[in-house]
Amino acid sequence: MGAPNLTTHLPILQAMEKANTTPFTSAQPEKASQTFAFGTPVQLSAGGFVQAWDGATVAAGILGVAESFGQNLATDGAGAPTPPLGGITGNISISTYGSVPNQPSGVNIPIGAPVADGRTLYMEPNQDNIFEAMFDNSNGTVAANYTPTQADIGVAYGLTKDSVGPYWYVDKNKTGGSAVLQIVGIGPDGFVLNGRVRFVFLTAAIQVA
Amino acid sequence: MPQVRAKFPQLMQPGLRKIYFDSLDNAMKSSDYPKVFHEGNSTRQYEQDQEMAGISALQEKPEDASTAYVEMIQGASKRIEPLTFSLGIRTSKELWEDDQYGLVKKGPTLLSRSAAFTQEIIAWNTINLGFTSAVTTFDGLSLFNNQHRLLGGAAATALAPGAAGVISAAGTWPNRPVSDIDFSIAGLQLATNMSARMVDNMGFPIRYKFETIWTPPELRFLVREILASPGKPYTSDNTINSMLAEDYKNMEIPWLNSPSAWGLFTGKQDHSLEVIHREKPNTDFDDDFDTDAIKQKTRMRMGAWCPRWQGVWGTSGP
Repeated sequence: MGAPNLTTHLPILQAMEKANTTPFTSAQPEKASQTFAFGTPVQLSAGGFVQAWDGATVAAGILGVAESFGQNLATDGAGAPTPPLGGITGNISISTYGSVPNQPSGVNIPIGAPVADGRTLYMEPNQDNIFEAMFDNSNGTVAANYTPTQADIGVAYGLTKDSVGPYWYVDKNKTGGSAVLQIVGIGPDGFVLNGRVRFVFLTAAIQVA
Repeated sequence: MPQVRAKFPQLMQPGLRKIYFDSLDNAMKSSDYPKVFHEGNSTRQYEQDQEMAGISALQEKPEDASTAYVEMIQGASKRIEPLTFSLGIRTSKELWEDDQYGLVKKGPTLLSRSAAFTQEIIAWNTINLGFTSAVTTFDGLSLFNNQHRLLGGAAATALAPGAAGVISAAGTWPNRPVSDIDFSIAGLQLATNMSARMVDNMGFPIRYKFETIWTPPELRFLVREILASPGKPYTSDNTINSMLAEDYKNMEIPWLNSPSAWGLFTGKQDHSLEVIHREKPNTDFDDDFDTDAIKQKTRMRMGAWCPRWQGVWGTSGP
């Protein structure tokens, strides 16, 4: 029974843009209870809110790669600005503590607690955006299984979530109907064990073109 | 989306006698929000404020008895994050050059006008949305609420003079009537009385002077009838107009959405309506090397809030 070489990997990053312009970043209201890390592939829920990718929906399954972390919202989109031209609502914080005397709806916000604005920022998986992630193999057994080679350029693979960490890696074991990306280049590490590779998402895997 | 010549064929030849151009013909009047809102600058992602309550009244001490000790009360926290607002115009070099009237070069004027409008709406949305959970105060309740929670709780309302005639629940205080009311003599009297009884978190009267009646344009004539009459409005009795002594100023606010919502503001020194500028409107220009298109852009970062409910009073009308 094979296994990946690493139990935690680096987050997926947007590394290059084919048109040499600023990559396109979007934001949509986040689904409740999301706790994903930045660098996580995300998808739209049935109701249209951003949630972590389920790892299984390949066809039109990926909305983008999160630039922000899941805010563990109490309700879908809680805090997102009220259009038109309304501000962020709610506590604008991912955490509160204790209670406020005689004010059940009042909150104590720890100084410095990160902001929650009810939305997920994500990098769109369009064909111009080249992403970078570590190479591994969920069913590997020897070093060669975990090491990218020149022959991997142009090959379509899938993504698998860390067994321990919160991030995702390019999984050499996922091909064919499980593939969501295509390798377009080798990353800065070169052809080394678990080296980083550069890829674009397959058109068929993009949820919102 | 670029502006190209095919979309503006009327500008390609001289001969038009006059062009009625929104940007030039209907210039925005002076800003309204600075007349009411405090303006602050920020250098951070967000600003965070904190409420603190004082202490209650002194307690009677029998002869030689110990003094009672009390504690101040730490209240709630409240944050504001200024959001970024931006807009650009992209014009082909050909249109830029061939426009015989120079209108497409007025982009900065248009952008300035857009920024001014946006600033007003952001600020006044504090009032527009103040009857909903989109704008809340330290206690987590809508800005205009008939049961704002006092940090001193029921003990505060038990101590507050005249509370029984004002509150609808122990431990709370209103800055909005239980049943919303039209702008009228009765409505203004209710607002005046309720505002005169406004208290702090421990139930102490704070005796703010409410100076301004804020109204939408639809109430203009009613305001005149009620405030400008030397005698009691709508009667033939020889009774003075008792509202005149309040010396209210009327501020008609065209940025309000509701045709019937109205209310009172204290002077700036006593309320916490505030606009936070993270970046004042900032215009930039560039041209595209490949297409030669001219790009003009204005961006700003701004937010508005009212973390404390004391000092404002409002009703959504009927």
